[in-house]
Amino acid sequence: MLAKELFNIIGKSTKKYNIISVIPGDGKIITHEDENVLEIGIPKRTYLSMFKQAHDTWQDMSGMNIDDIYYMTLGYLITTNEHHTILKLHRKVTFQLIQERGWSVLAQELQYITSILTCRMSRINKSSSLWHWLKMLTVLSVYINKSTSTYELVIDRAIKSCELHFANYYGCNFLRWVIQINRVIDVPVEFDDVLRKLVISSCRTSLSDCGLWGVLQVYLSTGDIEWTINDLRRIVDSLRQEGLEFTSPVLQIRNTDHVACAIEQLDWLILVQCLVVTPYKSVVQAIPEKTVEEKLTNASTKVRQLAQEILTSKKN
Amino acid sequence: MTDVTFVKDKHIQYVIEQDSHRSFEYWLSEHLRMNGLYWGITTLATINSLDALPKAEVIDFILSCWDDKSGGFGSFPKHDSHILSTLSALQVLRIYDNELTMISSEKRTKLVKFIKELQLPDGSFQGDRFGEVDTRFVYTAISALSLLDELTKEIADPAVDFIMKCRNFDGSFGMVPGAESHAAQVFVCVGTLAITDNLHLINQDIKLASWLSERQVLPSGGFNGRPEKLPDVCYSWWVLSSLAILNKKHWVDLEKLEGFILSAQDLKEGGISDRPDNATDIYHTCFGITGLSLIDWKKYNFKEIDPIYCMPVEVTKNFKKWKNLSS
Repeated sequence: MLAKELFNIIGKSTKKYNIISVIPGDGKIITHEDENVLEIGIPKRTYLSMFKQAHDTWQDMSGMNIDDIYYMTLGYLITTNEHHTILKLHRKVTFQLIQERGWSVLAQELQYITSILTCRMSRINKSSSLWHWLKMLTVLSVYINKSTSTYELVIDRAIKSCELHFANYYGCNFLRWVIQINRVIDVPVEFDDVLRKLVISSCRTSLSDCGLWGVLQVYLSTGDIEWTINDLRRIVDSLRQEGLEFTSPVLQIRNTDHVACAIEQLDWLILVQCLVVTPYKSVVQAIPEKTVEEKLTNASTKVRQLAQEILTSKKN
Repeated sequence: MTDVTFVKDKHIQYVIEQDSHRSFEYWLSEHLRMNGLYWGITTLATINSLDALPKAEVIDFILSCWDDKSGGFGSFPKHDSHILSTLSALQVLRIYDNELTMISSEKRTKLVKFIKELQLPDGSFQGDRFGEVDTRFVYTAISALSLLDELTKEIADPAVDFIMKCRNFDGSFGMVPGAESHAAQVFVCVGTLAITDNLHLINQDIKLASWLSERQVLPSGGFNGRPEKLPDVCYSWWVLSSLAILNKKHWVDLEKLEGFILSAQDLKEGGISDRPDNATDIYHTCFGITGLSLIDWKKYNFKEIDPIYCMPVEVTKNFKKWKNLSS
């Protein structure tokens, strides 16, 4: 099965990112690696065959073992978006495998799903239901097991997905969700640092990406804690309904104060004479008006005009 | 003023051929077929050509997608039901038959139960038992209940509360509270408020209409869905319908938008793409044409489109709106 071949390649990879692309032609799946990235190229005809195999298998699953069903659903997830029937089947099979074989299945599943979400096919990497599935996997593997290394993998790859797909709406909203969840449960202190560094670095390389700068804006501001707690509880409840046994994450509301970080970002924008509106809109929300005005006295005329317009619209 | 003409006959043929080209892409999109059918039928209904597809076959296909286990419609036979495919099915059926006589009372009861059970305690809706929550699903559920004349205060009030929590500092709306503003999410939120007769909650504030009018990208005149993004024909619908509901269509340059939509047509093969010279698809064809209807339906001899339901007004005028249901 072609899907099994593909996910075996991903399973063996030790790279930070596994980036899947569809390339012209026919034949075997090819790979190329550098220091951090395993590039995986699936020839177009092979990609279509992967879908056909999954489709044919789904039409008649009688006598099939659970592994074949699992790989069949993965074959669908890399070739189709928002296939609700398959997503539910995939979830069911994944949880069944976890119950039968233990939590190592979860680590493997997280590898696979984050790799699918960092593929170069835009309709796949922006799939809302797949990002929702990643939320469920993240609650299980990061927030219940409190694994910093798994957290870094998830954040790294979510940001990579957003870099590969300009203003990836559901990818960026996943990152917003992570920021909010970090504020309502007991997590290691380094969670905050990891996310801040990666988001700021990514924002600075893409000044016009409203999605990424919106993520930074959420980091710098306060959010709807009631909604976040409800959402977390709903996910935890749904995981329990699948028969999984675990200790619930401990709620711990923490107050955030990122004004200093916001000022640092404004300083940087002024320094590089950024002329894109979006970054200013994101950072000035978190800074007292008087401070913004003081900072702008050192800015170039163009930057000052731009920022003043934003301040005026903020007042209105 | 654009000099590109609207190639109606080509578009009719394009919609007809969607079902006859059984390529790989056809099967790859099997799970989106019910939505595709809605986009095709709405295109044809809007341009006064509903007869171009065989009514009996379309209805038979929809009924074959009934998922008796959960009580909704899937996107394809043997697929699980989802709120998105359920609304699309109901929209097409109601375009053909305003009385929905093809749905038995037993099915109707199951449908209402299916939709209502997707609502969560905070008023939001999940799309199905997978648990994904999104303002898209709130609109879809509220619209579907409205189509079935089954919208009640108990359902609508918490849904509206949830929608208002999704409003951002810029006046716009996102998929959940705290999510990024997005023009398509604006449509579903404003649409929900309109169906439930709650537009007064946002009408006093011009921030939203300002944000929507800023979506027009010059010099093309097309709309984008968020700041700094490229214009895309589908936002001709999501943005303009929202402005139409808010009675602010005149806040944008309609002539330029019209030119942008017309320039994204494939003049040879029919169909409309996201932007000029890209590949066409049925989704952009539908929302380009419904966008043109919002701009000037009389000029094109189209049906007038309802900005709240994205269906012809001659169908929606019979809908019982929330305000008529108060008990």
